Amino acid sequence: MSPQDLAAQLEQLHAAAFGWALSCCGWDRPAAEDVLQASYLKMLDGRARFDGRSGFRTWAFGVIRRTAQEARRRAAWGRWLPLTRLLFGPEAADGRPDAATALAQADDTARLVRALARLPARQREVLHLVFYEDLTIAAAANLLGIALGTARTHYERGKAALRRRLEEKD
Amino acid sequence: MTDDTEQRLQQQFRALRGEVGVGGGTPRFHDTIAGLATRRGRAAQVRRRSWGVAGGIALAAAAVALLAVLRPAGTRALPVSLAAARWEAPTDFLLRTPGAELLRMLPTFTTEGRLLP
Repeated sequence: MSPQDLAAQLEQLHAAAFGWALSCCGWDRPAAEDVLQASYLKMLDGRARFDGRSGFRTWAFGVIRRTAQEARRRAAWGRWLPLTRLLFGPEAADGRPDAATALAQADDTARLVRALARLPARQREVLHLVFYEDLTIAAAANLLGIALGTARTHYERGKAALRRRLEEKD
Repeated sequence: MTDDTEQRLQQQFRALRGEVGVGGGTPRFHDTIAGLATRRGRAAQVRRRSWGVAGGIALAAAAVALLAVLRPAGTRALPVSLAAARWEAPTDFLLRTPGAELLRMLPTFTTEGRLLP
């Protein structure tokens, strides 16, 4: 795939990719923008190559997910080792506004973001892919590299947990 | 789980997607791409710094190893062979008796019966 084709495909997928990056970063907008940019850089520089074994969206979302994990790991190291801060620059993790209030203005959506943040990562990922990205459970399982049955379990448990959290009084 | 829950969640997620999408919620694709050059420069800087730190650590390790090898010989402890060493107690002279050497030699006599020195 030529860099122009790749950029065109990424542009089509951009809004969905940003939504996925938000989910992977716990709805932290600056972190999501950073992760999305780092992911695009990996794809356009050829450090992550699309070999056609899966769909383009599945591949791109996989790259974003791994990049978010790396960013989280680096931030965790940065908290413990001052040397990594010297190498990678200061992390702007502290002092940010609450992710839910920064992104979602309406009460319902703010509550949804807060409830999602309290779910286990796998459940949150499956629910996001199914409800936000409109993927099937099978496609979500493929993207996350887990068995269909496992994805279904995460989906059902996540749905139940999310409903309970949404019904709780603030 | 009831379909009702799914429908409600679908509506809430749709509203969330709408809020992220409108009002400049999603950064423009071209803005994201435009920042890549800066990011490439920053990545190169991080790589250079990492190599610098790794080089510094390697240099320090090499210096320590070199110092250990080139330490002056006088300060180094000499190896002692216990099998070759002979230890004598400071009071050994008390056991030496006069004429003890006569017990370890054969006396030689002349034909006249005199003892040769």
